[in-house]
Amino acid sequence: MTNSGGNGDADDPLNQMMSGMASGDLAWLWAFHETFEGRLRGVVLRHLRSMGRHDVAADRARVAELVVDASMVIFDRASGWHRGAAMPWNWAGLAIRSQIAAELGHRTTEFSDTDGGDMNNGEVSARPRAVVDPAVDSLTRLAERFPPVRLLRDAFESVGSLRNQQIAWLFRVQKIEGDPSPAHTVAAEFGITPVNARKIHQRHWDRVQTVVLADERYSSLRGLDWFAA
Amino acid sequence: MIHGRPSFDDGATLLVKRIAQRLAGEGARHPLTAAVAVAIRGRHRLDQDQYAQEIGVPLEAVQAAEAGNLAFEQLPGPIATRAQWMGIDLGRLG
Repeated sequence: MTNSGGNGDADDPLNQMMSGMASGDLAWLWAFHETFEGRLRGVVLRHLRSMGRHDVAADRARVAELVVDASMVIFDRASGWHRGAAMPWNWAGLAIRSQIAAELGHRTTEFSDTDGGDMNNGEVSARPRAVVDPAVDSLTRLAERFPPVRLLRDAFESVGSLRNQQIAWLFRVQKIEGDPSPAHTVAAEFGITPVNARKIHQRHWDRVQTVVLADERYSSLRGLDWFAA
Repeated sequence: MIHGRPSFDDGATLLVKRIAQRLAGEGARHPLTAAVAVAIRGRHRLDQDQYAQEIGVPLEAVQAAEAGNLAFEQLPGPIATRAQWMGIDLGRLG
């Protein structure tokens, strides 16, 4: 069996499938979907429920379609995945969510699990909820535990609007995670163009760098590759 | 124990359609047939070389089928036979 990934764990079925998909072989897409359809369905249902789309979640055919979409999302990004990273459906979770939102023409605002009271015959009321951004939320939790991360967060949040911070951060996270087109992923998530996503990301990090280089409070961050003068 | 053909699977049929769309974009003349051929090899979890050996079909024929150069009735017997057992609603593909 071909394993173009070149890692040392060629017998692991997941690695084989991801390597095969990374090489562009659609037969491995079939194998991946067939093997992990249940896991993917769980991911899709979780996203649908967090979007308040219980109506779609209850529609078997629609869910099957979205699960196929999720497989395609992972296939298209497989070359960026590496062994030891998160499971592919978690690694590509944001891209899958963006794909679902795009398919449904839906906002990406999350609803909490306790929003069932808003449901009426499967319809969701338009009562707004705060956007919950998993990547930013993770940064917050890390900042609470690690002082250097807190410093980075403070510098990062000292410039730009909250929305631009979220865009810039998600862009960076997607890029680090191996997303081959972070601009498209972030653009879909925020309803902007990929060009704008790229510009906002670049401009925000340029401004953060300026702050880090100018303010002595952030001097310990200057050793990071991100802020090399 | 399964004695008959499996029931149709929505996901499997949809996935074959999506694969066919990709292959059509790459210029396949018979994208649906090609997608079915690709799916069958996917179930075997084999690359083209090993798959061709396993089912006793020349590698060139496997490649031609997956490239979309063959109509369904031109598929090698071992591939066409397996198509009936994939859970793909072939009637919905046409």
